[in-house]
Amino acid sequence: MSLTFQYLITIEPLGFLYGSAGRFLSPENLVGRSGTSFPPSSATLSGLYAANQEDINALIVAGPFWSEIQNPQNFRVPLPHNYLVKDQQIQHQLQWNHQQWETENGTSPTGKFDKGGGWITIDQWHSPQQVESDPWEYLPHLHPRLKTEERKVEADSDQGSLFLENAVQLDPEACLVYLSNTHLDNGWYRFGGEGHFVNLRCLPLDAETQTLLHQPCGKQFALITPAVWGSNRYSYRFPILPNQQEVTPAWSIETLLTERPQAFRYRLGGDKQAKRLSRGRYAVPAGSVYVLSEPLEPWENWEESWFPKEAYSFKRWGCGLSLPLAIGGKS
Amino acid sequence: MSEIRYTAVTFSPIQGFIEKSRKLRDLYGGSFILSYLSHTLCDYARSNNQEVISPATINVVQGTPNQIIIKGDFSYQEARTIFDRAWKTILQSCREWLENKLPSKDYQWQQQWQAWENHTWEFFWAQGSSIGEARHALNEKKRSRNWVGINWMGESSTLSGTDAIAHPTMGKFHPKQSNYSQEIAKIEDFYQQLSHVVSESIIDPSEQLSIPELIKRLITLKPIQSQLNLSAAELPKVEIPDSFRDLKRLEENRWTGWFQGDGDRIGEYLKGLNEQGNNEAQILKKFSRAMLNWGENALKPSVENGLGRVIYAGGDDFLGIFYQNYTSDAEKQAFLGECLQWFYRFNHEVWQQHQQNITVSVGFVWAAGGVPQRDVLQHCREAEQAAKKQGRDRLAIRILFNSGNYLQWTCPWWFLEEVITGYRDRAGGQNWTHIYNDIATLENRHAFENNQNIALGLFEIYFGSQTRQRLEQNLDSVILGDSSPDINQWIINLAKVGFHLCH
Repeated sequence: MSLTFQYLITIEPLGFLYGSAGRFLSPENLVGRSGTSFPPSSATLSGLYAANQEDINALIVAGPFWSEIQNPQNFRVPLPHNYLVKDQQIQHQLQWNHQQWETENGTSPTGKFDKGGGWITIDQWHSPQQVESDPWEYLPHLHPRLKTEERKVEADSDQGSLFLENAVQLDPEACLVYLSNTHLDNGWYRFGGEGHFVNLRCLPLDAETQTLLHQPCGKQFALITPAVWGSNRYSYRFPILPNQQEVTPAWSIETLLTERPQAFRYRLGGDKQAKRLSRGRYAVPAGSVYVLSEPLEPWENWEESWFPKEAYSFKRWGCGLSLPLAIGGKS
Repeated sequence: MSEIRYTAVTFSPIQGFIEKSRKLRDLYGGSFILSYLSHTLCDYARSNNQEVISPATINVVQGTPNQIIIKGDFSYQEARTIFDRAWKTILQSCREWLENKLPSKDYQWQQQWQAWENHTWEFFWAQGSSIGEARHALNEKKRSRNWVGINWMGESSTLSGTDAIAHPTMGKFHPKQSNYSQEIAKIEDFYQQLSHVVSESIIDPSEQLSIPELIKRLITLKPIQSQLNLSAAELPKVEIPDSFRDLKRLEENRWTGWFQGDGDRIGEYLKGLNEQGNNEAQILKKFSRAMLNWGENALKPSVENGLGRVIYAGGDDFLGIFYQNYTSDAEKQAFLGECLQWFYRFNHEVWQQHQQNITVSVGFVWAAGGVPQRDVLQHCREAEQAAKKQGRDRLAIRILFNSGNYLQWTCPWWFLEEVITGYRDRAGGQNWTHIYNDIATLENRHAFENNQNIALGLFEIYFGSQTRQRLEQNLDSVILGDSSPDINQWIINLAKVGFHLCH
């Protein structure tokens, strides 16, 4: 089994998907948009492998991305944060001048720009042209209320027996995309929440994309997936060296361009029947840009010790998968 | 490097800290904590003979300033130490109070409290030779953020779905050695007892909160506030009387109104004043004072005469709620009518009182009782954003149903009352069912596609030819948007929203 991504997994929901994360049995966390977490993280896909394959010790997956069903290989990745966008148009490409970020004309950016969250096609990685927004919308819909102790509909509650599920409807022409190093049979699977089914396809990953992923990250790169760094106790904005007295970044970071942390939940332990324990950490959002004084290898060669390890390495979930950024790229 | 003259300090999260809330009390608690922290910083600077430019002092701990601007060299070390100490005081007061109130527990949670002591806030500090420069440097620093996340094991808070549940042995849990169901029983038991001690109105026995969420609740209690060394005058004017009853929106299925507003283009406004050769610091100080006084002396009295409450008014941004214990549909409608009246008058009677030449955008959400508060607040923020996007200087009204669906209509202040009160049904009355049904029928027949005449004609029937003329003459002002003006959609939304407002 190789470390490299050779497969592209596409996921088409059959109906709705589930848009929240958190405590399933607490209606308050399901209602509306507060616990919004979509698309499902790569840990969800890893769970799907675990439920369907005996041995997943060498599994590595990454995502989430999305694509048009007609053209799955040219999938969308998060736009790096050094591009400033207004009304879906790229206004500036920021460059790090070793002191501060400046625009292509050497000035400081002024004015208000959209908060991150745009997507670009992988073939435009080196010169993004068109920024796209999320191809899904949240559709709250009613759902039977469950008893707090059992997964049964509660019939005699004074709150009525329905509550809201924050369901997500994906554009019918779009599919979710993940990368994997392990083959999975095409078919229908349960994915992303109670009773939600998806049609999953496993395709060989386009050679050009594989080449791009093999490129060294260099001194400037951007995350295309969320990155969980740190110890079992704390999450940091960068990987740390193991067994140090003080928190020591594993990289020599000149600067980084990032956003507030996003909660990253997963479940661990137990086989399919046992009670699995939930965990929560915080991730550096995809799209974050790092500038280092020493160049880095391609992600697949990154040190195992940089990744948090709990039962297994977070590298399995494609944590912090990164692509190099052109320095002084032409806009 | 030129001579250091200004220091800018800010911390984060602010909006997120307030938004993670379930009860009205959380909003007060959250906004009080934010104010207290910045108040402490400003106080310290003043006692060291440094001039605090913004926020201006008026004698309240109130509002959530985005940035603290200080004239002088307020060192990072000082600022950080003072800030951390203030936050630590809050945590310690809460923890000790809990341990005293429930003494029989085996407390092993110090380490977790310490983690929150160190890692709740991102703290940013920068300096420059002018206010603009200091601010710019601060924004540059914020690009890298400065957070450390506290990981958790097991179930998370029932309020936010993130972070560990606070309980006495939270630090002891070992996934391999501990019994999971015992752990759950312990948590439930602790919250039962806690709820009993502080009363159910403050913490429901069914809630399970994280440390910061618990603090937001507890800080609203007098015995804990009394440890913060604030004089009586400085205690938050969000005075929380002992009789303070939290809103029971869900149990009583009451509709409530929420509004969030923000001055338009404040940055540019201040910059414009500077370019007229005025003194930057004086301008900012004057502005900050005008806005704080406005919150205290104009906004609050206009709302707190039985209509509702202001949660915060920290400068040019504010958040408030309208609620009333109505008992019938007729009373509910009358109450909503009062809220609308308040908005008709808001721009020229309330907002203008600060005498600054700026406009304001407000989002108003009329929310059904079953929608969780956190969601309502998100909708509130989105509605405010919609008002900004549609051209500023206006109100966005959002009707939010229990199903999570909503209707929204946006209208500039000058046109608001004229339209809503100018409605006449076919019998000359105020029954909005007429236009509502017409719109539904015409929509079904696709009558609005590719022309505006149908919508405008309908508008004229129900609102009169004069109002139609005003609308057509001021199309750009009324319906600015991110796209081309869509007069059809604006009229359709008006009919739907108006139907719910005036039904």
